[in-house]
Amino acid sequence: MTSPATGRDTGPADAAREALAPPAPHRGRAFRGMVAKRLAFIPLALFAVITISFLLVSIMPGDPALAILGSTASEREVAKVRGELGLDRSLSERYITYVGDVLQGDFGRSFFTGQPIRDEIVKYLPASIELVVMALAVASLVGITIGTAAGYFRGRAPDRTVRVAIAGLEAIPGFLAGLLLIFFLFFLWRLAPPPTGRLGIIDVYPPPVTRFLLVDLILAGDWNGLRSALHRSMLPVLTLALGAIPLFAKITRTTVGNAMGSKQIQYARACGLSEWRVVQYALLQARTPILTYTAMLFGAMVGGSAIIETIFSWQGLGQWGLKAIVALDIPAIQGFVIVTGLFTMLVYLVLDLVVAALDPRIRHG
Amino acid sequence: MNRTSGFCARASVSALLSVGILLSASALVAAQDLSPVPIIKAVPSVPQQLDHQTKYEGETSSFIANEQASSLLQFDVAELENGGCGQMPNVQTNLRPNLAESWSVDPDGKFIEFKLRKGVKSSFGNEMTAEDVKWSLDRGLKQSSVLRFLAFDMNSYRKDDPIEIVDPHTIRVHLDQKTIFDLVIFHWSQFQIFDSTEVRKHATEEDPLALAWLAKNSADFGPWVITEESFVPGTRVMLTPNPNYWDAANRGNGNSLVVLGVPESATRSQLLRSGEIDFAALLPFEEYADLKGSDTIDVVNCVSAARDTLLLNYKDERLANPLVRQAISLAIDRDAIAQGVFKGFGKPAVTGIHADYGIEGLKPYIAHDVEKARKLMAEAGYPEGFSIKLTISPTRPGSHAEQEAVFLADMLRQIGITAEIELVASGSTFSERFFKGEYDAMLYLELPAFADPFYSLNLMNHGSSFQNSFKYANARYDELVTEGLHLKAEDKERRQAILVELSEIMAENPPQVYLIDTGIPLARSKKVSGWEFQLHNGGNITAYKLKKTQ
Repeated sequence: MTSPATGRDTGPADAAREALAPPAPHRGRAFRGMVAKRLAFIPLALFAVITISFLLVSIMPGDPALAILGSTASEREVAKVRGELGLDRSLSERYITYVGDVLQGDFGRSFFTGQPIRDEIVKYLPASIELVVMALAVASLVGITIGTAAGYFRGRAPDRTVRVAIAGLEAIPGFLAGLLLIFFLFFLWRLAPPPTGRLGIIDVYPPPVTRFLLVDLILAGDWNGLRSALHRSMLPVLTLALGAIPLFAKITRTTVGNAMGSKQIQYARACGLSEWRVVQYALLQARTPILTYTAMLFGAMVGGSAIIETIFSWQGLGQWGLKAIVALDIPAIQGFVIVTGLFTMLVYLVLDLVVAALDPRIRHG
Repeated sequence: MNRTSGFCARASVSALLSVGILLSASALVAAQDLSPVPIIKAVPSVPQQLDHQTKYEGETSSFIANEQASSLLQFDVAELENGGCGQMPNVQTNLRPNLAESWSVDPDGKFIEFKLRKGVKSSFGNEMTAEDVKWSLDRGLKQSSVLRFLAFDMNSYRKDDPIEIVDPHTIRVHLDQKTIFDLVIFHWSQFQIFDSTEVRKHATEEDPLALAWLAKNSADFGPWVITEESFVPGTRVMLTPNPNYWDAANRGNGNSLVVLGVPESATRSQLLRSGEIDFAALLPFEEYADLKGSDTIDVVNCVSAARDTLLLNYKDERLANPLVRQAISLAIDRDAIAQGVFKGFGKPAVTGIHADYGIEGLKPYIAHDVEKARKLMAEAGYPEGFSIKLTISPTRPGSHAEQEAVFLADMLRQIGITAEIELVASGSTFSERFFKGEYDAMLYLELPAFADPFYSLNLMNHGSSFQNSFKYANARYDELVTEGLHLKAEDKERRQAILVELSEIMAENPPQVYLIDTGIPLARSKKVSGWEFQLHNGGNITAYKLKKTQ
């Protein structure tokens, strides 16, 4: 089937959608309204995240002053530091000050490094984004491919094989997969570099321009460094991707499998389209759920890949946040919670907009 | 062939052989290539910042701080067995000058005078003066609660301005009273000497001690330099040589020291096995046992003053009963723990004093006798036993805590005590629980800053010590420990007599249930030689002296 306007193939579902769609000006208004609603929701949700992060950290057991000073500090010294940290003030007083500071972009300073939390986040967040983007790229490529194969051959050998593989991958926790990959691919077979960070042990990091290491290496023209960084990304990316592959595979298998038995696909086949084109149409139906899961995973992984970042010394936000939690570095924990919360909200906003742009049913409620 | 020609022939063969041997030897030397290479050590975590005076992160900081070696004194471990690994140094007699050239103690015990080494320069080219030393020591005492504790509580430094500049190369440290730890504090890594000229350039009105700059940079008189570019907080740090280092003659061939944070012990072990690193710190005991079979790795178990111990809180009247305390001690099979948990890298405790001190005349009183333990429980009025909570944390004594606690719970069950294991994951929470005495029983690690029995006996069990959170109280014990703290190095007989009496007191009513005298296992590459073991600095290596073959 070919669209006369574009000359490209269009599916039967698209044709039906186009026929039922409202006129263009109305479409624009509806889309803008939806964007406005979503944007209006952000401050409210952000306020909730700030409040939750403040309260959660405030009720955590342990005295930060004692954690900072150590066991040999006198009671007077502990009291002094508690005063300096503002811990001697009431919860409500601290909350008001905290919200005021955060709204001005001031997350405070780390109890342990003394560095502004905002700077630390700017330093560590890009590494996590790079890791997650690479992992999701690998996971989506592999997951969608095997999911499509399983959906197309539903109930047959390829489907059974994929289901067994998915079950196997789901059964292995991420950190264990990481350790096993290190053991086999680095230690036994020497196929991967050691898990000692993003560059070689004595390699020099490029000047931080964007803070995205791969981009900075390109900007610095350090091609050996880039090769080294990509090589060292192999294991952590694979480890993180292994956890996401089952999700992509399952959602694709279900959607493609259902689509293959739908009337649209029967019609497409009756029109004499090639099997390859038929699969493409079936896959098109999976794009919205795949996008939704991609965004959900993206939001969850940026803060949630702490263990994997730690195992591979990735120097990302998750590893930084985990250290902050263990050390009871309250401003860092609060900053971590707010940034990951805000990041997730922004990703969901973008997701809503993209999905709405792709699917008029959502655009019109 | 006549006699002469035979002789000539033999001489020729000998000459040829000699040349051959010489050539082979040269080839061997060439094979042991000592060209500059990085020395790499993997540790569980690198500190978040480098100002060890302001924020000392315990063991994590020690991995860097000890290598910086910018202290007035050091231990002369070269004099000790196996580079200090096989013999405990004496806190009074095994010290050697480092940045100080010499020292003397006032006969009335009112001050210690240090003559500073001349010509000692930082990497910035500034020569060390008494001004640097005073500025650094004053800074340390202002910033570090540990140093204040060591100087004013454990020792008796004059509270008001104890550091005096006598001349540009002489300082005095004023004392109220002499103790056995007066001098040893000056080898402590937190008492490092800064290049104050350089540091002050980075000070501001709001930050007069340059905390922000020193958190990411070094400026001292030690063998290494750290810059902001080479430091990734929490992850890794690369130390490069101080080009002006005063002791360059003893320098090894390490052109840098890389300290990598590798949280997973299995990965640290694999890195060492694969030859990627030269030293792996703090592996589990099973890993050390496994590595013993390796051709490329040397595993040694060094002397230590640390002990795993079971604290029983006197606030609980059941646990305050001396018969119950003795019963608990008797119920524990320390041999089983030493083999099962420590894999031989620890010895069963036999007295109240760590065996590695080698104190003579101590009567072993710690034994394993379950029948006797049951009788003591009945005698104490608890024939059916009771329940307690056993608080543990993997942060102290270490990753083996859970396994050791399971062993203990199983052993205590035999005398009717049900120990419910309570795991506290956070180190700071565990520490807080310890200091506030919020536990029934706690598995703990006694890890003295200075390896001398009086340090531990005073800090852990003295009635007035803040670490005696289990509230042991014995006036005679306190009296003896206080006397021991002020003995002179030559009072050897009195020292031994005091320790023997203390051990007898501890046998009657154990302040703690001592479990295992731990060793310090080290795993290191055989390609590297010249290891020194600075026990008092946390059992670290001294990397600047190492020689590594390619």
